[in-house]
Amino acid sequence: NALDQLASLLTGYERFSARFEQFSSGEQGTRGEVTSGYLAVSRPDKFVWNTETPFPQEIVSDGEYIWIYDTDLEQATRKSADQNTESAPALILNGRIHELDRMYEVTLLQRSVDMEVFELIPKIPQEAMFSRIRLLFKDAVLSEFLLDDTLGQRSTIMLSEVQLNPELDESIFSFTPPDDIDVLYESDR
Amino acid sequence: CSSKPPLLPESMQAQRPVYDLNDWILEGRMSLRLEDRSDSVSIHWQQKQRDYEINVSAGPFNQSVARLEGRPGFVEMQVAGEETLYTARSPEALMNAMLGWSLPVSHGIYWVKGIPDPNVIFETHESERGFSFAQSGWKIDASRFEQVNPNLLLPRRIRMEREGLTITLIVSQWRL
Repeated sequence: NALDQLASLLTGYERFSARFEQFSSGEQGTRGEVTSGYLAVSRPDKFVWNTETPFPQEIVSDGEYIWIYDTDLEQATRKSADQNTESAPALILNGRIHELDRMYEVTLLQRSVDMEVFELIPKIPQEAMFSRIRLLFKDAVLSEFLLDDTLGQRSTIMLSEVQLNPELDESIFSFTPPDDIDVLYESDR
Repeated sequence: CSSKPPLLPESMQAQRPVYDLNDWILEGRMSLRLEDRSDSVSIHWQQKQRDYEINVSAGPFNQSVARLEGRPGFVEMQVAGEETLYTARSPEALMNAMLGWSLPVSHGIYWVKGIPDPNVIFETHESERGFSFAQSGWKIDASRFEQVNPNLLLPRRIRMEREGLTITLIVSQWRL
């Protein structure tokens, strides 16, 4: 079924890296800007999401903490990692199929020789942050996310230069804040 | 607030075009810092005359956190993950209730352009980096001014501080 097919595409590798381009759009069409950067995942719970343009922002998680560093804002905040690991995109990137299955109904919308499109609909809409998620795989590699959130905004993320199990320097998943900025260590909420 | 053209003090006359600008879209990053708690969000703020629409989103996937639509005296707000549409007279009270923080929207319409709200008294302060003033209990520092078009000088960085809450807005794009 669709879940097994999605599982086969999202599991079987430990590390994942890609460049991304992202834009948000509301009902009246494109609204936000296009942001672009680099992401890397080292399963089970380390990831890096570095936006380069239009504003530099680094989001780095070593599995225990998540650091959010906004260069322009001259501020870095450390939060505990467990708050954000439940978000659907994090579950997808980490290949945590059981949790995904628990929260989302997975269907295979389209399938062709070199392309699959999956749709994820929340089983309990009130609790979900996204009303619909679509995943596009090209040649069995994740290449696009479409995330419709509950306020009618769609975030489209296009991946390029995707690498499965790339050689990654593990130090990219640990962050030390530069010394001339505001550093905040957030206690658990 | 009154609709008669604001009485600009002598020092503000040069900013007349900025006061008259009330059709703009601002895209930016904003950090909210309250004691040891802080969040950074993306802001899309569209102003059309006295009507505004503000989208707050956060996280790597730019998920919507909240959406406000309103004009002086009325605001509607939707919060991510909740069905209900909240309405109120002022955005500040509603945001505080729903998000635990609030953007001083009523004055912010002017502050984000780096000018004081002309309808309320203010005090200008010395600032080598830009232009700073105090108004309604807030201290505002606007800096990184750029010529957005021949007669419009707008800031790219606005810091707003009041009793432990510091809001820093970095504008990545002004769309007029």
